[in-house]
Amino acid sequence: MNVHLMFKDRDFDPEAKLPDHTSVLIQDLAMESLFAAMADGDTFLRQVAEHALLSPLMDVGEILYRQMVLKDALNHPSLIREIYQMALDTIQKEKQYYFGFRYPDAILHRSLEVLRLFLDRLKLLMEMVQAHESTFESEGFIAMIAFLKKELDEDFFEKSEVIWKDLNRNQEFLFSATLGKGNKGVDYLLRQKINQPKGLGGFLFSRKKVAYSFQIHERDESGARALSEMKNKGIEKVASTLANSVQHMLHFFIQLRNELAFFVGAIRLHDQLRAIESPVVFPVPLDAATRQLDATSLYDVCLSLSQGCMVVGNDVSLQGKALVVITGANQGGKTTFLRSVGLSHLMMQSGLFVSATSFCMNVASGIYTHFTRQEDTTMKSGKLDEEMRRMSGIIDSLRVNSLLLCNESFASTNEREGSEIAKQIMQALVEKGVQVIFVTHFYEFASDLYQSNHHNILFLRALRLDDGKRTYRIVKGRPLPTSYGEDIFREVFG
Amino acid sequence: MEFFSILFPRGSIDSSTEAVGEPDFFIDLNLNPIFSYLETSRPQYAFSSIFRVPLQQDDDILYRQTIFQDIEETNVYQSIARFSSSMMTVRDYFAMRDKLFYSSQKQRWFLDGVHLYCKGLKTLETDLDQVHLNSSGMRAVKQYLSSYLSSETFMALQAISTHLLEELTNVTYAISIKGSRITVQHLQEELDYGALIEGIFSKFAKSTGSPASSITPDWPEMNHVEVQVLELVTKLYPELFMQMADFYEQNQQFWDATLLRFEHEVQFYMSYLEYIKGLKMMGLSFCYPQISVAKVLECEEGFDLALAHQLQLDKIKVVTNDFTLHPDERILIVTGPNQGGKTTFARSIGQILYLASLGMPVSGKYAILPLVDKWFTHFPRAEDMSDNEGKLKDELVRMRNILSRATPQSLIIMNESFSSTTLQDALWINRQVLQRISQINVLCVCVTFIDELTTLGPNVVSMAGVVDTNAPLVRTFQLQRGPASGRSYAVTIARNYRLTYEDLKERIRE
Repeated sequence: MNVHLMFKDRDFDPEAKLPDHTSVLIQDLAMESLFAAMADGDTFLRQVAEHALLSPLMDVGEILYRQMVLKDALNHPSLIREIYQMALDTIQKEKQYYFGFRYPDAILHRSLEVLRLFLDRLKLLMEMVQAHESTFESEGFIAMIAFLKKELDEDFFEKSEVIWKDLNRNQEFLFSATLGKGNKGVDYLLRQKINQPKGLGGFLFSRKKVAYSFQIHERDESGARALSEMKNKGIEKVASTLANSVQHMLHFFIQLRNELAFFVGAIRLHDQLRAIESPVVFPVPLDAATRQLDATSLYDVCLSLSQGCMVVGNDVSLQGKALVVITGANQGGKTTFLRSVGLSHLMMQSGLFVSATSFCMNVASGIYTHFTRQEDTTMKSGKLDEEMRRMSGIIDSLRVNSLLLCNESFASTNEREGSEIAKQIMQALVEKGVQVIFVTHFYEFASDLYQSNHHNILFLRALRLDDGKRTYRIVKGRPLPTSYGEDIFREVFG
Repeated sequence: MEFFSILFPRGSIDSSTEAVGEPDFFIDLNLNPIFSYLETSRPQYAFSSIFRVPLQQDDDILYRQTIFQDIEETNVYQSIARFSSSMMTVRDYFAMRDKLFYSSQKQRWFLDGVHLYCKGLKTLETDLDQVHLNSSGMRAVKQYLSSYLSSETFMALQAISTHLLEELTNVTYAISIKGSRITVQHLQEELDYGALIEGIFSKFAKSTGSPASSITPDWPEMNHVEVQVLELVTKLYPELFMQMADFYEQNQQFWDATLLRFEHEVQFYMSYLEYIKGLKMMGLSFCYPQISVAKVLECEEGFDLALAHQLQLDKIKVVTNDFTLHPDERILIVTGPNQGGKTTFARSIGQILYLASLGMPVSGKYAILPLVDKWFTHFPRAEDMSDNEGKLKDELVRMRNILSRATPQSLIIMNESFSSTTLQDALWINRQVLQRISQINVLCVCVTFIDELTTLGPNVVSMAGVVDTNAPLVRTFQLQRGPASGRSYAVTIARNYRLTYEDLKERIRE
């Protein structure tokens, strides 16, 4: 039984191992406020949000599939929350049935109790879904509902009830066995008795045959134990089959919860952004090779959420450029801009809306960040060492059409050396088809690139007005010899 | 049958070698941890004596090298591993037979053991048929195996055991329990209840994650209820159980001694290949050294195998070193910073030469090595607790003994020899010793802190630890001929992290 709301063809697994780079991305893109908005204090919702955002989809079709499901979810917020709660509650209840000694008779007993719970909840689910059936438009929801209707039909519920009643009755045991290692009896298998008055079909004939029997003496205690052991072996397969079956049914509820959790989080995020009047739009994802980003009023959604208000956005157009070099004033919005691009990639590639008024971008096969770590107070050589180690770790993951966001990379060494390292790395990355956005105050690095007049490079600058005021806007512009540290000095010291 | 041993092309080794004790240099050269690891990895087979017998002829070495090359092929390795594990299981079965009480149980464990023995050999034959074997050793094994398997004795053993086992496997009986009465009879057409349940709920099943949810404790012994049931089953199938008893009586001696020996000896190859497998996966190279008559000694990217194995467990990168000695270069003086990998380097040379003489693949991309007749190490001894004078004397006595036995084909590895005295004395003594070593023309690797030794004569080669001038505190563990060349710090670091343009072009996946 598949839920398949997150993916058309596979399950969503919020336990899957995330790429090594994950914690770095969360830190560099300051994603905490985004997770907080989606989770609203719930650790599971947070985990799901984190997993969905940090395992970006690479395929345009997959993105659109999830976007459609999300649009449906945004149209049915209360129903989605209701089903999610029901799944959550069922999973909780299942845990309350005690797993005692792992003996077949105990397992069988527990499984029968859990089966009762699940059968009741499945009936409830069918009622909820069927009431709203016609109002869903996405492929994901339509397929899921059709699937449920087909699999959980009357016949299924009828047969399940028979099994439940049959096994709840205590009965005389008939089972088969074969000879195992050392001729010891193995493969004990409970058989359906032929002369059962009611049952699931069965053979009504019986032939006369040889039979030998013996009786265990009533004072033979070890014999009685051996007998009960044998019985337990006999029902072992039935008990474990039923235990597996309810385990599988539990997985269905877990899957339902896992997949709906993302949409429940997305609905929350949507509500919050609307409350602070920050606009969102469903992005148009383009094939990875197109190298395109066209956005109007693209803003840093995490900054907006943590400040609780609408923040300055940028209009951007990067067409066919493999490398973007951003220079200009300190605290001029370069980092924020870099983050907004990274976040849009992660949001778009998890099927979410993005923080802009119009948006169209290529998917990246992997998003990576290499930000300078201001908090490092180690000696210089150690710090460069650390930066290089991180870069080297990223290199092994990069592929063609990956996106790498560099923020003041190699700033821990002097400009000449830092520029040399950066140039070598950028040249190789561009040639290998990796997309890079590089924020730097290395003039030597930036101007060398500018003079090389490489058609594949776009130069942007943090805009400073003539009176020295920063605008937090990023515009096209060649690198200039100084950064604007002086400005900030004046701002601070007056 | 022509085949005797896959360790020695001309059959068995002299039985006196069994008595050879562990040579002193095993510890100095760090060979000890390697060999004891190999032995303990296969405690069922004792083969430590093999490590103590270096081969003195290059065709003996080649015999093993080619066998190693054959077994190194994954398919061959796996088929031998499968075979060994089958034989081990056979022995387990027989141990079980000896342990159990009821004859019907004993007979069945035996039958299963014989059947597995036949199957294991058959599988080995099929497996070896599908690979190309180059070594004369493995070819002989294969030939021997084929002729044994087509012998009448074996074919009968296999046919009968297979037949009996099939019959026994097909026995299915019904047990019904009502109160304390147990009835045993033939099974009718009753349906499997578990299958009914599976049918209804299978729609929820995923291919993944169906936990086995039940455990019933199981052991080979039977309780008296089980014994009684089995007795009734015997009554249901009287003829079959009679045949099984006959088979047991008639086939007590069936092992083939030559194949048993092969199984035993091949563990020498298997254990070593397993030992170096992890290191290969880490990108370290191994090679089959070419034996040089012209006293050339050459190796690219060699390393201390025991240390590498340890570092691999701790996930630490292994530093490799190249070295070359031309025929006229007989003494290698190793100098450099403290803790800079000098001793490790000297050890690795000794190891490579010794392991090569066992016919094993050695560390390095390629190697050309001379045959060594005797191995000497002159290392400081931890147990020398006496005063410096006594210590120096002891060192000199040891050295004299070495020099009296060394030949032009021998190897001496000296590690900080005579360092317990003043620099002036140490220089003088070392000069004297090295002159004598020169006279004997014995191959010598000498680790020392005395730089002056590097210029003693034309047959002396100097190798020095590489110092990174920009980060002199960082140990490189690299050694090379001549002085280290300084490089810009940043680019050096970039190089260290393989982040130069050239490195990246190689590293980034397409």
